[in-house]
Amino acid sequence: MNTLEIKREMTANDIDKWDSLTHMLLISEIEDTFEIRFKLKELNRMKNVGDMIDLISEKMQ
Amino acid sequence: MQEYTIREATLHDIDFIVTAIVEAEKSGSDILSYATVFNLSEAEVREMIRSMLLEEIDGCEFSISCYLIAELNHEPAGTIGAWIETADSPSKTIKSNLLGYYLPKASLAYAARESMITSELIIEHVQDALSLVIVYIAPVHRGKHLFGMLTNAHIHRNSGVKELSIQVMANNEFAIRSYERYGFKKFMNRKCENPEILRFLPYNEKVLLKKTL
Repeated sequence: MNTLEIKREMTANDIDKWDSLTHMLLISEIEDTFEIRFKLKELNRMKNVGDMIDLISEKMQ
Repeated sequence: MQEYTIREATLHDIDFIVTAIVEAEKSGSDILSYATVFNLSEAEVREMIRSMLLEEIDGCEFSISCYLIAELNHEPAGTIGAWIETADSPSKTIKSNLLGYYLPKASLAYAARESMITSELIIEHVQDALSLVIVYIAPVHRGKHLFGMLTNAHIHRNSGVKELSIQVMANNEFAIRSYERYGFKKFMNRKCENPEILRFLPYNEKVLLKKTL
């Protein structure tokens, strides 16, 4: 089984097969799982995994 | 004698740019990948592209700021959308944020179920190169050297750029010949042997061409 260690500074460029379609599906899954909805400007503010985690935490408060 | 002029695109060019993106995606075929991958009609795709362009977000093919327009008698004749790809702000992320925001959830679910095969033809944009991503010359204006004029204008707009890159479906021989005449050379290709891919894309092989300045 493949495992992936996630680090805050990781971006799509660091992860094999994280392409445009995968990115859209990931965002959609996060929205469904955490029952949140990102604004477009929030999506464009996320530069790496750490930004994504912070934004999810912020939106769940 | 009529002369073409080159200028930056504005929101007034939005209908022409929507057509440019749609026709560039079709690559001379009837298959529009945004429609086939996400189970949408062409009209729905056009409306979605229009909405994304109106956001005026920079850095991908859905950004008005990336386009230069060749016009004749104040009418658009051709356009190229281009930008310098950087590691800090990858165009694929900007593009997928826009697409993901505007696509219905049902379309994303359809893509996850049916169309993941299309990822096999993805060639990453070349870092720090000027990527010419959308190239469209209206049929009546073809053969007038507008590709060269628009590309030269993009180079002038991005002073200091050292390399150009462009991707095209391998069956679009007319376009490849035009690019080679301008000095592009084939650098790599990616092919998918699974015939299923032709349900979603105009062809099963893509070519990356580069030109050093």
